[in-house]
Amino acid sequence: LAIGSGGKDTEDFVKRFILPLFKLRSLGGVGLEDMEDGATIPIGDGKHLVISIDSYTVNPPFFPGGNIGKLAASGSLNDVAVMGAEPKALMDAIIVEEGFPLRDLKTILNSMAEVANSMDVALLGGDTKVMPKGSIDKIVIATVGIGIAEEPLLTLDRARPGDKIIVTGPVGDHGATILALQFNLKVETLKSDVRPIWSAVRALRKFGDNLRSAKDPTRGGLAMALNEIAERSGNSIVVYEDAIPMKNEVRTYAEMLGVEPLALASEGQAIFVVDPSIEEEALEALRKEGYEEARTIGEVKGGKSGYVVLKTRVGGLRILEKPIGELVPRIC
Amino acid sequence: MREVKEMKKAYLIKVKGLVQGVGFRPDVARLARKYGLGGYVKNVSGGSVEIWVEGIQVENFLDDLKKLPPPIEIEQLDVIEASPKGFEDFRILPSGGAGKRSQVPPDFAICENCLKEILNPFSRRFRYALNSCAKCGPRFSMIKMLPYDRENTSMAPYPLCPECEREYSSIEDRRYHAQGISCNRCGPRVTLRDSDGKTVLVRDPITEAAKLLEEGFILAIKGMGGYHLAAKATSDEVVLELRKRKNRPRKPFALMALNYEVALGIVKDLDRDLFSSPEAPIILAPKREGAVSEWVAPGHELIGVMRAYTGLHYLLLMQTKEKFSIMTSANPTGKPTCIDLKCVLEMGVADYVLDHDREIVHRVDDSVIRRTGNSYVFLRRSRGYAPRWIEVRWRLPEALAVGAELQNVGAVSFENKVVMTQYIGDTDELENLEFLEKELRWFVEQYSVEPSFVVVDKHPLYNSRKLGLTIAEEMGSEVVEVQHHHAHVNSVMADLGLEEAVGIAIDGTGYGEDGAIWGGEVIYSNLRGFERLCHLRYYKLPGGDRAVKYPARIAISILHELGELDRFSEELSEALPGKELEFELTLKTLNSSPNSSSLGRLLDAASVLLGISKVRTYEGEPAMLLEATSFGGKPLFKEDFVKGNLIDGHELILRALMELERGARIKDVAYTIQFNLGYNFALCIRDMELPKVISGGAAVNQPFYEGVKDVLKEVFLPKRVPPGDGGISLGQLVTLRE
Ligand SMILES: [Fe+3]
Ligand SMILES: [Mg+2]
Ligand SMILES: [Zn+2]
Ligand SMILES: [Zn+2]
Repeated sequence: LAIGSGGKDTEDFVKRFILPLFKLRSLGGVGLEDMEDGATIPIGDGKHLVISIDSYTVNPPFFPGGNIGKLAASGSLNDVAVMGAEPKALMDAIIVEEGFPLRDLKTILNSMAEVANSMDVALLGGDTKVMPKGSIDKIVIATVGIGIAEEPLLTLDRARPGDKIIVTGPVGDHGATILALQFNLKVETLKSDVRPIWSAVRALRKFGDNLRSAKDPTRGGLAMALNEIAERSGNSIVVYEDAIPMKNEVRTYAEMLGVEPLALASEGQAIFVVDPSIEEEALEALRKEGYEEARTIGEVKGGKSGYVVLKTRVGGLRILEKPIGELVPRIC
Repeated sequence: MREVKEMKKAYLIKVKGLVQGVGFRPDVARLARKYGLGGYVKNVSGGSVEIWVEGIQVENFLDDLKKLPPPIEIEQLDVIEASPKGFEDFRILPSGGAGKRSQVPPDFAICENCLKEILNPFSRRFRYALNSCAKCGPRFSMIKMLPYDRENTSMAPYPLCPECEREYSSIEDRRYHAQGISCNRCGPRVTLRDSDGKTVLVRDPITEAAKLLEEGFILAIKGMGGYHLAAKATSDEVVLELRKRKNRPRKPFALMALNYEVALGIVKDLDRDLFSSPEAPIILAPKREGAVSEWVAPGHELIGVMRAYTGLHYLLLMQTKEKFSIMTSANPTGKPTCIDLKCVLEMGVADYVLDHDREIVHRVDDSVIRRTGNSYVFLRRSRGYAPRWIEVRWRLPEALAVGAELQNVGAVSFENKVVMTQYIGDTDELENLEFLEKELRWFVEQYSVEPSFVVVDKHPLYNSRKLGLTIAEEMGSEVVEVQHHHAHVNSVMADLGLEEAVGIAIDGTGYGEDGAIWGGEVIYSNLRGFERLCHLRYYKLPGGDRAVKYPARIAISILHELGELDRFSEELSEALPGKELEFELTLKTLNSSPNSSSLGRLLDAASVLLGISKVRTYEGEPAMLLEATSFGGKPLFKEDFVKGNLIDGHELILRALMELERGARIKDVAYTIQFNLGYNFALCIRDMELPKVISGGAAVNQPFYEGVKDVLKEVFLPKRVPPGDGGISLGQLVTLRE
């Protein structure tokens, strides 16, 4: 089960079981083994068609702040956006369990449409199937996001020592909300942050090469996203615990449920790696675009490749690992 | 004098032990000359010394040789009789033989002769704080590379003055070939600095520092292998201020006393030989009521004390009224102990720094030893002991082990030797992990080890494991995973030379073969493999690390499974920072939480249920305070809780709580729980016909040990390595025995 958690296990699974099977894994752009959010196909003039696919299951399908439809549409479009691509089109495949209320399905479709319409994204095609009761859990939605990007693509290997790491706002809201629901907690103050984040990427595209990489901290949260940047770019990353925006209740609930707060998913925030010379301007641009709580949370350093180090409030340097599926205490 | 008509005899002697870097060869030469013998002495490979003596009084020579005082330590002496070859005189020959692996000598406390010199107004080394000789002073902490010659140490920048030069080259002098030799004229200097690092101009920095300490200032003091923080131990105000500045609310501080007599004013039952030894460890001993501030070691019965082990420490304490002080390592939160001025100044805790300019090359923290049963056990094996190699009974491949994660120690192996690093610290902190890597690589290079294997713990999240995998890839070594408690049991077996044993492995956390968190195990091991024979009944660790920090969560899990939670729900809610809400959440997450058989965590839960400790502010705190509370307690019952291969800790705790409700004294209940746990673990292995060992961080628990001893006549704790995770790397390496 852990191989679907989006953490270390997912990555191992892809490397061991999927990569070796396919002869052709890229078409000259970003491909399967790059393990980026989306794949790209060069289409000339320094442009790329960017495609991303993801399937969404969430229990429960409706949650404060959104539903599975909004999540599925935003998710794939966000994956395209963090490659630097303007989202252009969407395709979907929906599987519902027999007996799933039609009214709910309508609401879900509405939410998907809302996301697409707000961004002038076309729905190019789709497929809906019904499966016998008990063979799936309520509803599964797969979406393909399609966009067009001009070079440079915002891949994770572009981070260099000295670059700053910026986050658009408080992290972990989506993960905390779903977690609370799964434990049957009624927490009025928690709400998923699911939303499209293209506007944030767009706001920074004007900095050209000085915007290096972008990433949405979805599954595995900030911890996973930062580890991926560190690994792919061959650098280490230092983040300041104090600087990471996180709502108090998100932190409290995560801690009480025994979950690393920094491993909680966000579905409506982005992380950017930027050249230090544009740090202030970038923050300003994000704020102007409505990302008022955008902050610098750390920086890329040379040295030990693949390590993310958290500078704690008391000044210690804790190593922030990639989250793994299960909870394992380390304290002896 | 009677005419001696005896025959000339010749002996070829091979000596093993701590005989290199401790002035052994000059001692041998002096003895040989004393008895008019011819021959030679030389270092040979494997860290041994070869001696050839011939003449009449060879027996006398041999007797004296065996009696050479510490730090020399003769572990093995092979004597072969030969026929004389006609050596006229006795010589120290250059090192010979292939391999040339000579041991990196550890650091030693100042010896009596050197101490006398600095106190003697007629000596040219009067008040020289960094005095040392061939028998004492820093070694490992100042070696940049082997061989151990002056130009390879941090004494290289201090050329000898003519007088030191004369001592260095005269075989009759006790400083003959002493690499650390120096004096007031040619040696490093002592300076007093303010909190900005600026030199405070005073006639005598040490006298001034003593005065400041006396007045209640906090001082950083550069010692042998790192900086300490010194503070007046009798003043609540000063101790609390130190706690505040260091952000260390409760963890005990160690003390340093001028000498044995002074130490006896602070603690009882202190072993004089161990205290005064060249290793000069911190020894935990029962404190004397009221001798120091309650805040030095709040809640503890045992308190750590060591002697003034350098001239600098001695001269400082000598000039204070009390003649003792807090002497705790100056380590910024989550970082290793400071070894340079910059680190101490950045830490911003000390008002003044008593500094010297001899560079510290290897950080070496103080060793810590306590008594369990009738033997002394290491809590930390570092200064004075590390990096002495540990010889085992088997040949080992060249390999490297990264240990576990907390209070970690790494090791390398070759021939029949394991070289364990000094105490490293918690390698979940980056700088400690880098420290481990640096030391391991240094030993690999110094001993020319080409590791065929890199041994790591099974825990998927240990950073040491990640380091191990990186090193293995780089060096082309095979990675070997060893289960944590298997390694614990192996470490004792390696120490004793056992190839088969059953062991009780009890600690806080280790990753089990079934994905559960183990820590209360009975294990059969034949070094290479193991079998789990019994374990503590599983309970849940709701919230993982959070349950470790707030053990009330574990108590909830145990009582919930027993159906007895209601009676305790109020007090357990109170013991959680999130009160009722957290109590509810804990219950809700029980099913999705990992299983654990950890004895340490069970003791933590007991500690909370007895109202002793609610939150763990440092490693092992609730369990340690439980042990402290049981001081002077007695067993209220002695019952069998073994069910098949399970030791039912749940039922035991419940039974003990019933005694509490009936009005039993807390100290007796606390004692009873720990005693019965030991008793039940021992019951599991009572009938097995194999040597029995005990290991793991909780193995030093006295009431537990007494429970074990109630059943088993003979059970062994490790002597040369800590039973805790500081011994893991030894246990990891011996799985590779050939
Ligand atoms: Fe352990
Ligand atoms: Mg993504
Ligand atoms: Zn000496
Ligand atoms: Zn001199």
